[in-house]
Amino acid sequence: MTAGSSGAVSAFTGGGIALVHKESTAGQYTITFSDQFRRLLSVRGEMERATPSVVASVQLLMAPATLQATVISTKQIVIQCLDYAGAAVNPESGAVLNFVVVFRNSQIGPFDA
Amino acid sequence: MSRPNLRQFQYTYEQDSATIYGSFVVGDLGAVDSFQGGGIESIVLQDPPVAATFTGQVAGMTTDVTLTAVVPGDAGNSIALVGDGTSTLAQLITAWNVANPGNTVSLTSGSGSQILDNAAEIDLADGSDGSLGLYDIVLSSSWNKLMEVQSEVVLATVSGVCNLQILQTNTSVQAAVRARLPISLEAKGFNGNPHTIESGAEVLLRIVLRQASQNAPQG
Repeated sequence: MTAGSSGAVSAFTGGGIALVHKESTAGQYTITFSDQFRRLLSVRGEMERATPSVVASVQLLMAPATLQATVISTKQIVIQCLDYAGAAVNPESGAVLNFVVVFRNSQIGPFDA
Repeated sequence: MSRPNLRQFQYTYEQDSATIYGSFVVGDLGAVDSFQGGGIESIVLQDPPVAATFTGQVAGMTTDVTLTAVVPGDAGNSIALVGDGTSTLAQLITAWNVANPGNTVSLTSGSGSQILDNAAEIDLADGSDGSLGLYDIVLSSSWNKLMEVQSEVVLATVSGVCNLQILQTNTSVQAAVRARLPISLEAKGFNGNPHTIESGAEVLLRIVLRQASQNAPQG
Protein backbone atom coordinates (compact mmCIF):
# COMPACT_ATOMS: atom_id res chain seq x y z
CA MET A 1 0.00 0.00 0.00
CA THR A 2 1.31 3.44 -0.92
CA ALA A 3 0.34 6.30 1.35
CA GLY A 4 -0.75 9.63 0.01
CA SER A 5 -1.54 12.88 1.78
CA SER A 6 -2.64 12.46 5.42
CA GLY A 7 -2.14 8.71 5.17
CA ALA A 8 -4.72 8.27 2.42
CA VAL A 9 -4.40 5.14 0.31
CA SER A 10 -3.08 6.28 -3.03
CA ALA A 11 -2.48 2.77 -4.36
CA PHE A 12 -2.37 -0.83 -3.30
CA THR A 13 -1.29 -4.04 -4.92
CA GLY A 14 -1.25 -7.71 -4.02
CA GLY A 15 -2.97 -10.89 -5.01
CA GLY A 16 -5.79 -11.67 -2.65
CA ILE A 17 -6.21 -8.06 -1.53
CA ALA A 18 -9.61 -6.65 -2.50
CA LEU A 19 -9.37 -3.28 -0.78
CA VAL A 20 -7.25 -1.22 1.56
CA HIS A 21 -9.35 1.45 3.22
CA LYS A 22 -8.08 4.35 5.32
CA GLU A 23 -10.09 4.83 8.50
CA SER A 24 -10.61 8.21 10.15
CA THR A 25 -8.04 7.46 12.86
CA ALA A 26 -4.51 8.37 11.87
CA GLY A 27 -2.59 5.42 10.46
CA GLN A 28 -5.49 2.99 10.71
CA TYR A 29 -6.37 0.82 7.75
CA THR A 30 -8.90 -1.89 7.07
CA ILE A 31 -7.69 -4.52 4.63
CA THR A 32 -10.32 -6.58 2.86
CA PHE A 33 -9.28 -9.88 1.31
CA SER A 34 -10.68 -11.40 -1.85
CA ASP A 35 -11.17 -14.82 -0.36
CA GLN A 36 -12.39 -16.28 2.85
CA PHE A 37 -9.97 -18.49 4.76
CA ARG A 38 -10.42 -20.53 7.85
CA ARG A 39 -7.72 -19.17 10.11
CA LEU A 40 -5.48 -16.14 10.31
CA LEU A 41 -2.00 -17.30 11.21
CA SER A 42 0.27 -14.32 10.90
CA VAL A 43 0.38 -10.65 9.97
CA ARG A 44 3.45 -8.51 9.47
CA GLY A 45 3.71 -4.89 8.36
CA GLU A 46 6.89 -3.08 7.39
CA MET A 47 7.57 0.39 6.13
CA GLU A 48 9.52 1.09 2.96
CA ARG A 49 10.89 4.58 2.55
CA ALA A 50 14.16 6.22 1.47
CA THR A 51 14.51 7.93 4.85
CA PRO A 52 13.45 6.69 8.28
CA SER A 53 9.70 6.55 8.69
CA VAL A 54 7.77 7.94 11.63
CA VAL A 55 6.08 4.54 11.85
CA ALA A 56 7.73 2.41 14.51
CA SER A 57 5.37 -0.53 14.44
CA VAL A 58 2.24 -1.83 12.83
CA GLN A 59 -0.24 -3.42 15.21
CA LEU A 60 -3.13 -5.75 14.47
CA LEU A 61 -5.89 -3.67 16.08
CA MET A 62 -8.52 -6.30 16.75
CA ALA A 63 -10.06 -8.02 19.74
CA PRO A 64 -8.13 -11.26 20.32
CA ALA A 65 -11.17 -13.15 21.61
CA THR A 66 -13.11 -12.59 18.40
CA LEU A 67 -10.20 -12.27 16.00
CA GLN A 68 -10.66 -15.49 14.08
CA ALA A 69 -14.44 -15.28 13.85
CA THR A 70 -14.25 -11.68 12.70
CA VAL A 71 -11.66 -12.38 10.03
CA ILE A 72 -13.63 -15.34 8.73
CA SER A 73 -16.96 -13.50 8.60
CA THR A 74 -15.74 -10.13 7.31
CA LYS A 75 -12.61 -11.15 5.37
CA GLN A 76 -11.03 -8.08 6.94
CA ILE A 77 -8.28 -7.12 9.32
CA VAL A 78 -7.57 -3.72 10.90
CA ILE A 79 -4.02 -2.53 11.29
CA GLN A 80 -2.72 0.50 13.13
CA CYS A 81 0.51 2.37 12.44
CA LEU A 82 2.18 3.66 15.61
CA ASP A 83 4.97 6.16 16.04
CA TYR A 84 7.95 5.95 18.40
CA ALA A 85 5.80 7.24 21.26
CA GLY A 86 3.20 4.55 20.66
CA ALA A 87 0.67 6.99 19.22
CA ALA A 88 -1.38 6.54 16.09
CA VAL A 89 0.38 8.12 13.15
CA ASN A 90 -0.10 8.40 9.41
CA PRO A 91 2.67 7.05 7.22
CA GLU A 92 4.44 9.76 5.27
CA SER A 93 3.13 10.57 1.83
CA GLY A 94 4.91 8.32 -0.62
CA ALA A 95 5.82 5.73 1.98
CA VAL A 96 4.95 2.14 1.19
CA LEU A 97 3.53 -0.20 3.79
CA ASN A 98 4.37 -3.78 2.86
CA PHE A 99 2.34 -6.39 4.62
CA VAL A 100 2.41 -10.16 4.68
CA VAL A 101 -0.68 -12.04 5.80
CA VAL A 102 -0.69 -15.79 6.25
CA PHE A 103 -3.93 -17.75 6.30
CA ARG A 104 -4.80 -21.38 6.60
CA ASN A 105 -7.34 -22.79 4.21
CA SER A 106 -7.73 -26.16 5.89
CA GLN A 107 -10.46 -26.52 8.45
CA ILE A 108 -8.34 -29.12 10.19
CA GLY A 109 -6.61 -27.43 13.10
CA PRO A 110 -5.29 -30.02 15.54
CA PHE A 111 -3.27 -27.42 17.37
CA ASP A 112 -5.95 -24.74 17.57
CA ALA A 113 -7.20 -23.87 21.02
CA MET B 1 -12.34 -23.96 -0.75
CA SER B 2 -11.31 -23.40 -4.35
CA ARG B 3 -8.87 -20.57 -4.93
CA PRO B 4 -8.33 -20.21 -8.67
CA ASN B 5 -5.89 -17.35 -8.22
CA LEU B 6 -3.65 -19.19 -5.81
CA ARG B 7 -0.45 -20.68 -7.17
CA GLN B 8 0.73 -23.89 -5.71
CA PHE B 9 4.45 -23.63 -5.39
CA GLN B 10 6.70 -21.62 -3.16
CA TYR B 11 10.46 -21.78 -3.45
CA THR B 12 13.18 -21.41 -0.87
CA TYR B 13 16.94 -21.63 -0.94
CA GLU B 14 16.88 -23.41 2.38
CA GLN B 15 16.39 -27.15 2.62
CA ASP B 16 14.01 -28.89 4.98
CA SER B 17 12.67 -25.70 6.46
CA ALA B 18 9.57 -25.60 8.59
CA THR B 19 7.33 -22.79 9.76
CA ILE B 20 5.61 -22.89 13.10
CA TYR B 21 2.54 -20.71 13.54
CA GLY B 22 1.64 -20.30 17.17
CA SER B 23 0.14 -17.82 19.54
CA PHE B 24 -0.29 -17.09 23.20
CA VAL B 25 -2.88 -15.20 25.20
CA VAL B 26 -1.66 -12.90 27.94
CA GLY B 27 -3.16 -12.76 31.41
CA ASP B 28 -2.52 -10.59 34.45
CA LEU B 29 0.88 -8.91 34.55
CA GLY B 30 2.01 -10.60 31.38
CA ALA B 31 1.50 -14.18 32.51
CA VAL B 32 0.69 -16.69 29.78
CA ASP B 33 -2.96 -17.72 30.07
CA SER B 34 -2.85 -20.15 27.16
CA PHE B 35 -0.83 -20.95 24.07
CA GLN B 36 -1.26 -22.97 20.92
CA GLY B 37 0.64 -24.02 17.86
CA GLY B 38 1.90 -27.25 16.39
CA GLY B 39 5.59 -27.63 17.21
CA ILE B 40 5.47 -25.54 20.39
CA GLU B 41 5.89 -27.39 23.66
CA SER B 42 5.55 -24.50 26.08
CA ILE B 43 5.44 -20.74 26.41
CA VAL B 44 5.87 -19.23 29.85
CA LEU B 45 6.62 -15.87 31.36
CA GLN B 46 10.17 -16.31 32.59
CA ASP B 47 9.61 -14.87 36.03
CA PRO B 48 5.85 -14.91 36.62
CA PRO B 49 4.14 -12.48 38.97
CA VAL B 50 3.58 -13.67 42.53
CA ALA B 51 0.56 -12.80 44.63
CA ALA B 52 1.12 -11.15 48.00
CA THR B 53 0.00 -13.26 50.94
CA PHE B 54 -0.38 -13.30 54.69
CA THR B 55 -0.42 -16.45 56.78
CA GLY B 56 -0.76 -16.38 60.55
CA GLN B 57 -2.76 -14.42 63.08
CA VAL B 58 -2.68 -11.05 64.81
CA ALA B 59 -3.96 -9.83 68.15
CA GLY B 60 -7.56 -10.84 68.79
CA MET B 61 -7.45 -13.89 66.55
CA THR B 62 -7.25 -17.46 67.78
CA THR B 63 -6.49 -19.43 64.62
CA ASP B 64 -4.28 -18.90 61.61
CA VAL B 65 -5.67 -17.59 58.36
CA THR B 66 -4.23 -17.17 54.88
CA LEU B 67 -5.09 -14.15 52.79
CA THR B 68 -4.02 -13.78 49.17
CA ALA B 69 -4.08 -10.78 46.88
CA VAL B 70 -6.46 -11.48 44.01
CA VAL B 71 -4.16 -9.89 41.42
CA PRO B 72 -0.53 -11.05 41.60
CA GLY B 73 2.10 -8.34 41.73
CA ASP B 74 3.84 -5.72 43.84
CA ALA B 75 0.60 -3.83 44.41
CA GLY B 76 -0.66 -6.57 46.71
CA ASN B 77 2.04 -5.68 49.22
CA SER B 78 0.09 -2.52 50.04
CA ILE B 79 -2.93 -4.46 51.24
CA ALA B 80 -3.40 -3.81 54.96
CA LEU B 81 -6.38 -4.76 57.09
CA VAL B 82 -6.58 -2.86 60.37
CA GLY B 83 -8.82 -4.09 63.16
CA ASP B 84 -11.23 -1.85 65.06
CA GLY B 85 -12.14 -4.24 67.83
CA THR B 86 -15.63 -4.91 66.46
CA SER B 87 -15.38 -5.87 62.77
CA THR B 88 -14.79 -9.45 61.76
CA LEU B 89 -11.98 -10.34 59.41
CA ALA B 90 -14.54 -11.00 56.67
CA GLN B 91 -15.99 -7.54 57.18
CA LEU B 92 -12.55 -5.96 57.01
CA ILE B 93 -11.86 -7.81 53.78
CA THR B 94 -15.14 -6.62 52.28
CA ALA B 95 -14.44 -3.05 53.31
CA TRP B 96 -10.95 -3.18 51.80
CA ASN B 97 -12.22 -4.64 48.53
CA VAL B 98 -14.94 -2.01 48.20
CA ALA B 99 -12.41 0.75 48.80
CA ASN B 100 -9.74 -0.82 46.56
CA PRO B 101 -11.51 -2.53 43.66
CA GLY B 102 -8.30 -2.83 41.66
CA ASN B 103 -6.31 -4.38 44.46
CA THR B 104 -8.56 -6.83 46.23
CA VAL B 105 -7.83 -9.61 48.68
CA SER B 106 -9.46 -12.94 49.47
CA LEU B 107 -9.47 -15.26 52.44
CA THR B 108 -8.03 -18.48 51.08
CA SER B 109 -8.03 -20.46 54.33
CA GLY B 110 -9.11 -20.03 57.93
CA SER B 111 -12.03 -18.41 59.68
CA GLY B 112 -13.28 -14.97 58.65
CA SER B 113 -15.47 -14.65 61.72
CA GLN B 114 -12.58 -13.74 64.00
CA ILE B 115 -12.46 -10.19 65.34
CA LEU B 116 -9.16 -8.36 65.25
CA ASP B 117 -8.21 -6.19 68.21
CA ASN B 118 -8.31 -2.47 67.69
CA ALA B 119 -5.25 -1.38 65.63
CA ALA B 120 -4.15 -4.98 65.04
CA GLU B 121 -2.94 -5.08 61.45
CA ILE B 122 -2.65 -7.72 58.79
CA ASP B 123 -0.12 -6.75 56.10
CA LEU B 124 0.26 -8.78 52.95
CA ALA B 125 3.80 -9.28 51.65
CA ASP B 126 6.04 -11.06 49.16
CA GLY B 127 4.07 -10.06 46.08
CA SER B 128 6.16 -9.50 42.98
CA ASP B 129 5.54 -8.22 39.47
CA GLY B 130 8.14 -10.67 38.16
CA SER B 131 9.92 -10.00 34.91
CA LEU B 132 8.54 -7.55 32.40
CA GLY B 133 7.50 -9.28 29.23
CA LEU B 134 10.24 -11.90 29.07
CA TYR B 135 8.98 -15.19 27.66
CA ASP B 136 10.55 -18.60 27.26
CA ILE B 137 9.45 -20.61 24.24
CA VAL B 138 10.37 -24.28 24.07
CA LEU B 139 9.81 -26.18 20.84
CA SER B 140 8.58 -29.76 20.64
CA SER B 141 11.49 -30.89 18.49
CA SER B 142 15.11 -29.97 18.03
CA TRP B 143 16.12 -28.14 14.87
CA ASN B 144 19.43 -27.34 13.30
CA LYS B 145 18.87 -23.66 12.72
CA LEU B 146 16.52 -20.90 13.75
CA MET B 147 16.00 -18.59 10.82
CA GLU B 148 13.24 -16.24 11.92
CA VAL B 149 11.01 -15.35 14.82
CA GLN B 150 8.27 -12.91 14.01
CA SER B 151 5.63 -11.73 16.42
CA GLU B 152 2.56 -9.56 16.28
CA VAL B 153 0.55 -8.22 19.20
CA VAL B 154 -3.21 -8.37 18.71
CA LEU B 155 -5.29 -6.02 20.82
CA ALA B 156 -8.46 -4.02 20.26
CA THR B 157 -6.76 -0.92 21.66
CA VAL B 158 -3.28 0.43 21.05
CA SER B 159 -0.68 -1.74 22.76
CA GLY B 160 2.30 -0.34 24.61
CA VAL B 161 4.47 -3.01 23.02
CA CYS B 162 6.49 -1.89 20.04
CA ASN B 163 8.02 -5.28 19.24
CA LEU B 164 9.34 -8.52 20.66
CA GLN B 165 13.05 -9.22 20.49
CA ILE B 166 15.06 -12.40 20.83
CA LEU B 167 16.98 -11.69 24.03
CA GLN B 168 19.91 -14.01 23.38
CA THR B 169 23.06 -14.01 21.36
CA ASN B 170 22.79 -15.75 18.02
CA THR B 171 25.14 -18.45 19.27
CA SER B 172 22.98 -19.01 22.30
CA VAL B 173 19.67 -19.13 20.48
CA GLN B 174 21.00 -21.49 17.80
CA ALA B 175 22.28 -23.81 20.52
CA ALA B 176 18.89 -23.56 22.21
CA VAL B 177 16.92 -24.76 19.19
CA ARG B 178 19.34 -27.64 18.69
CA ALA B 179 18.95 -28.76 22.30
CA ARG B 180 15.28 -27.84 22.78
CA LEU B 181 16.17 -25.21 25.34
CA PRO B 182 14.12 -22.03 25.74
CA ILE B 183 14.16 -19.27 23.20
CA SER B 184 13.90 -16.01 25.14
CA LEU B 185 11.65 -13.36 23.67
CA GLU B 186 11.26 -9.96 25.30
CA ALA B 187 8.44 -7.52 24.74
CA LYS B 188 9.76 -3.99 24.38
CA GLY B 189 7.92 -0.73 24.76
CA PHE B 190 8.23 2.23 22.45
CA ASN B 191 10.98 3.62 24.66
CA GLY B 192 13.00 0.46 24.09
CA ASN B 193 12.56 -0.82 27.64
CA PRO B 194 11.05 -4.17 28.61
CA HIS B 195 7.29 -3.89 28.70
CA THR B 196 4.48 -6.00 30.11
CA ILE B 197 2.06 -7.10 27.42
CA GLU B 198 -1.48 -6.03 28.21
CA SER B 199 -3.81 -8.57 29.81
CA GLY B 200 -6.13 -10.00 27.17
CA ALA B 201 -3.75 -9.40 24.30
CA GLU B 202 -2.77 -12.22 21.99
CA VAL B 203 0.63 -12.58 20.38
CA LEU B 204 0.82 -14.31 17.02
CA LEU B 205 4.12 -16.08 16.44
CA ARG B 206 5.78 -17.23 13.27
CA ILE B 207 8.94 -19.25 13.80
CA VAL B 208 10.95 -20.48 10.84
CA LEU B 209 13.44 -23.29 11.39
CA ARG B 210 15.60 -25.54 9.30
CA GLN B 211 16.07 -29.24 9.80
CA ALA B 212 18.97 -29.59 7.41
CA SER B 213 22.38 -29.07 8.97
CA GLN B 214 23.77 -27.77 5.71
CA ASN B 215 23.62 -24.06 5.02
CA ALA B 216 22.09 -22.89 1.77
CA PRO B 217 24.76 -22.16 -0.86
CA GLN B 218 25.85 -18.53 -0.92
CA GLY B 219 25.46 -16.30 -3.93
